[in-house]
Amino acid sequence: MRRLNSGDEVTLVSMEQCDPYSPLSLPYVLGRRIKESDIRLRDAKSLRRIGATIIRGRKAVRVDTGAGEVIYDSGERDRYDRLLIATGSEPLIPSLEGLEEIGFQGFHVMEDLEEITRKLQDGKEVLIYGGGLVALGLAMGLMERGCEVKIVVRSRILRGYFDEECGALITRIFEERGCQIFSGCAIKTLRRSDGQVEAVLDKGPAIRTDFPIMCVGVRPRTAFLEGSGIMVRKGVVVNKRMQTNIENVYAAGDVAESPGFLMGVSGLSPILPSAVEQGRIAGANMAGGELEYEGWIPMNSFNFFGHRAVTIGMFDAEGEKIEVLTERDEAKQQFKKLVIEEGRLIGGSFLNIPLSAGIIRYLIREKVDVGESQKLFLEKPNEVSAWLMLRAEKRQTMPLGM
Amino acid sequence: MRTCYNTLSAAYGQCAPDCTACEDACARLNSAGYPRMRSVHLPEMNFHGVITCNQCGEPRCIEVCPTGAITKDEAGGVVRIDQARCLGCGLCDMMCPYGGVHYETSMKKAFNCDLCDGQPRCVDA
Repeated sequence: MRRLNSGDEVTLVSMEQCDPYSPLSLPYVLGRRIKESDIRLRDAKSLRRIGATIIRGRKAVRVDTGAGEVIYDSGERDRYDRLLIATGSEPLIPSLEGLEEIGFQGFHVMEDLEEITRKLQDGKEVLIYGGGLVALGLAMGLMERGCEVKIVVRSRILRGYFDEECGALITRIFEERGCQIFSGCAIKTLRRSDGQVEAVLDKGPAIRTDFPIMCVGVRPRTAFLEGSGIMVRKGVVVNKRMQTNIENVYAAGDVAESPGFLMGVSGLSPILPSAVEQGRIAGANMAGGELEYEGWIPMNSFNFFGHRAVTIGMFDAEGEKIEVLTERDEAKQQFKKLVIEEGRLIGGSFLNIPLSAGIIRYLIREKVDVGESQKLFLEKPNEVSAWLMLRAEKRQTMPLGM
Repeated sequence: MRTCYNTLSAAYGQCAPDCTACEDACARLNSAGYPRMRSVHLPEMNFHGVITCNQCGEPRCIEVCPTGAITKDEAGGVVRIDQARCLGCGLCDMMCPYGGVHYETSMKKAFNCDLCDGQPRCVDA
């Protein structure tokens, strides 16, 4: 909004007490790779400098779109001319016998990090239920801190992000580091036993732990919108301008159900790059701009124990018009996969392959024709992707400064 | 209104095959020891060039950094990654369309070209 020189009054309201930060940083703070003080994005002072105010510790419970008001749990109300809903996602709570008694512990916000750090004073054996990026990031942070980690996952780890071959390589790397992974298992019951917690699984022997952490997925935080008239399906439904069905209400980030780039269908894209891009577009349009969202592309970068796994686009697409090229090197712990549809790259998956992930993303976004170079692309993805990008940019000289 | 900054440019069509002089100079002479400019050699397509940070006017990397470790210097326009605040998450590399970020897995950090604070070593090489 400030880039458009808008003089509008901006207020950010957060239910958390602390200064803004990205939850993505939390595993790194837990693993002691970075200090908590270094992950703050903004504080009240820097926000004031750009003419914005932040109100902390206030939770919205209702929105009255007719009156243009947000109502908080304290009973207080705030009027708005334009509203941006960016309430993010909340952790899913699995239905397990005994969970209420043991107490639900997730890993989603700063408060969770603080609570887990406290619990670790009393015991370092942790059980993580779930196998997505949050679960694995948490596992990595705990292992870097010297904890003993066990993961229980209903299918296999990183099922939503990497295919089976690549997933198996990553599993092995975690296991080599001492992490025990129980794939294809579900927790049936949790109960206290001899000063620890015992997790009874649907197969195999029970697992003992000092405390379990639930990382079984998230969903948009939309309960407070009930009765507001704002359309919510999987998330808050928005158009290309990030606008909801109510003219002066917008949504962005994890909470929004927005147009996708690759499939042309709307959906959730709960990743940081999407949140940032959507926020920027919503902000511009709220200030009178005319930006349109090109749509989200799935992408994830996971670095762990000196390894790096990257997926972009539709890594698991199959079909008549789709060509899939893969290559695996177990000894080098490397994996590459290209998914090409009618000559254009629509997805890529790479484990420990030196290349620029952003160039792969560029090729997918710009629908660059890979032409006849598919095999060479698989053989030398770093060089071929760079060449394709530079050719597409029609660069004769490469400007290295601006 | 846009501000213009000093620029560097490489006529990459004229790069010698398999030459890595700029990359070596960069790696040797900058503090971290990792090159921020990388040579790209694809003899199959008779292509020899370099990729590095374009010092974009509206850098995507800055927007996406979870800790705000990347900044663009207001005076000189140089994009810098603060190593102390870098998580090594790799998102900057994922968003840069030009291969401008060098993600060093072993160090768990990201690097970009900072124009050597005025005297680019690659030019001399």
